[in-house]
Amino acid sequence: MNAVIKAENLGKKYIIGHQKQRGGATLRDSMAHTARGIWQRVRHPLSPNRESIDLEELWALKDVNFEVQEGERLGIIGPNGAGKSTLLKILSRITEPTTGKVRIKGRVSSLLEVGTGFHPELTGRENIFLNGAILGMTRQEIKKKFDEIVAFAELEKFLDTPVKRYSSGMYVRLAFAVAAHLEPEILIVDEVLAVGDASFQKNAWERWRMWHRKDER
Amino acid sequence: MNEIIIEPNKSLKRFWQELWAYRELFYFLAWKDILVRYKQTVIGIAWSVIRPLLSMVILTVIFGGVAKLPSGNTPYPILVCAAILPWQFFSSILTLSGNSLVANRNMITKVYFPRIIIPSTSMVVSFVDFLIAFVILAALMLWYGFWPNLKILVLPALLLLAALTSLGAGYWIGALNVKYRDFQHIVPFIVRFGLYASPVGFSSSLVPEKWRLLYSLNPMVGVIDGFRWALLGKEASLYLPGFLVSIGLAITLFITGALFFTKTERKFADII
Repeated sequence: MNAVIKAENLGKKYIIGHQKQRGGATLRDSMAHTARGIWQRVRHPLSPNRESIDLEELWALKDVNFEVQEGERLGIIGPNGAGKSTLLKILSRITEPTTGKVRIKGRVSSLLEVGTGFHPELTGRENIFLNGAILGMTRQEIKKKFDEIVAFAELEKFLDTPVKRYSSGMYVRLAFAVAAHLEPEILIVDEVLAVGDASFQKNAWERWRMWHRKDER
Repeated sequence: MNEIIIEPNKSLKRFWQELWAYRELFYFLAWKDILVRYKQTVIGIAWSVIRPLLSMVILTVIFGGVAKLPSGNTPYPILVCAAILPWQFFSSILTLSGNSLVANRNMITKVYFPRIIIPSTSMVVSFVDFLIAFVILAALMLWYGFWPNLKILVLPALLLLAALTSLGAGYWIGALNVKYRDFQHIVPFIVRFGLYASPVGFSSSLVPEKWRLLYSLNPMVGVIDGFRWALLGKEASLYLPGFLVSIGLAITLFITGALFFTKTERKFADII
């Protein structure tokens, strides 16, 4: 069989404590912590984990093994905090695994969020190009699909308006339209389809099915 | 079909391959910086002329007018202007790249691409500003009838030296800023203090001979002296040992900065 994604012993460790005090992890805190660590070590040279004073390890993923075959679709479900997004982040190379490895064959696009990198001051037209490039499209591809994207988003009239003047629905439609015109071999999606109003959601689902059909060809 | 292997620690060869593969993103992000720079301003791109012009006037008045520092046969405004251009190029890259990662945090946590592209694009918008501001210098030189000679052809190399220095520092600060937000407070200080510590408002020939090598430990001293040497004809001389020190430091700063950046970038999405 032809496995396009193969994950072996995947594990991801986070050190919380540092994560909790986001923005508060200043140089001073860190130096104080280091100093305390050194002092601890001097006093108890044999104590194993001095780090545990104010840091805690958290394994978001541990020993994850799976394979995805060509043409296959894999859904991952689980409660909040189960590690779904962490797994997707590893697959899309945003963060590196602590242990194990993944082999991926093919062009990957990941949609963990729609509208990543949109700049509020830029117009709809400019943001289509920018966002397309961020998602991994080449300039040629974007030019070729530009009209389709605009039609899908139903925003012909507002192409030269800065997106900061868009309603949130328009914003999301534009963002999704760009993403929907990616043509990857492997698509990684986090809960991004739940956007827009009812009629737009219908369009989005249709687009989604088209993707599937293309796979089955 | 290309195969990607995701595992802890990426090889250096992969790094270069990816950088090449993502060159279009570099182009688009630089293009965005330029587009966004003067959106919703009335006079737009004129700011790129006004900012250096005002700094030049202030420095000329303070150092040339009030402190009456010597400038040889060179008109004081030209002496200052030849230094302000590379200085603003440097400080603009440093400021933009130092803050760039935190400013683009949503991109870092949601999409993959070689992170080093983000601070590096600051070079493009700063270069555009430099070119526009160059008009002031050209106008001043015309006004004073000051003709540069062939040495002006060295300018691109000197600009590269300024870019290496500022990008090197920008990589260090940008990467450190991801974890320690202290660094975003340090940059404005470097920029403000550096303006007076570097020979922008005065000629570095004022520095006593025995201190000049030490003074050249600031890589921007080499860049600014080089600019004056290239632009002001025989009026400016180049202190060679100091210049070589500056080149060495600029290259060291750039290489260590890039290495530190690529070593820490794997953790960016987790700690930013």
